[in-house]
Amino acid sequence: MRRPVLEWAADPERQRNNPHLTGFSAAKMEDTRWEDLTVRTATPYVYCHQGNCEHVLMITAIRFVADGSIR
Amino acid sequence: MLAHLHRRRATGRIIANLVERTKPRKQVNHLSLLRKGAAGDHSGAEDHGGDTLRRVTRADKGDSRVPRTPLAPTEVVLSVALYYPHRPGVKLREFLVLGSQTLAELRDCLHCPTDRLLDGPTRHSGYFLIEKVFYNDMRRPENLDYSAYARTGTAPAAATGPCGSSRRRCARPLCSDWPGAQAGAGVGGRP
Repeated sequence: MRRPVLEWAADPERQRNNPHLTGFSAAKMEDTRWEDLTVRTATPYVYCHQGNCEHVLMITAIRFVADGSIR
Repeated sequence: MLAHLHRRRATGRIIANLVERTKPRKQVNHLSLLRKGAAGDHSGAEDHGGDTLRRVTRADKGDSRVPRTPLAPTEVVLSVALYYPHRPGVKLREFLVLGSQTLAELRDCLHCPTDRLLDGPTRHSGYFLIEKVFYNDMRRPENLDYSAYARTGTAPAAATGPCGSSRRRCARPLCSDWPGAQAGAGVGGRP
């Protein structure tokens, strides 16, 4: 399955149409806090586990807590 | 005819009952507030009335062991929605996450049936792809860096076994036009 991914990403026309296909990086999720992220709301992100189970993850709202809020 | 009507009315009542019973439960499932483990201090719970406060919502009932703690005024709350795999338009669950919590804490609360299928419980690898950064779960030494595979096209060692090859699936990217998700594609490596 490696080849289809590479072919898909390496397609020059696709890269020309979508420059976002380059420049990916990696980090550890256990070292990253949500407040460290730069995110956009209502933008689909990906959660992948079990090798091929892909979910769309979307941040629908970001807000400050009110005074006196408890967890 | 009358008996038939009676039966229909009775069924209607039962259905109404069921709806009433399931309604609050649905609301609880719909929005779950992520809490840290019970390791925190109890001071917050006592300050705010302890047990009486715990009965405020049904959502709190199941989690009565978790202590209440006051939030810092600078804290942010993110509402994160998880969607079904292969059905991107159908929401599976929605979570409230604090800015001070890590991505791994949310990951621990994401439950998917595939985690329990076959040898699923033995595999703990996973990643979030957010704004072109792969956030891998590397808390266990046996976890695979899925992102290395997705970024470089190099299969992880565990993918070379019979198990890895038999489960290879369609590598169709999730959606080619979504800005943050372009590298989303099935990964053949297991754990």
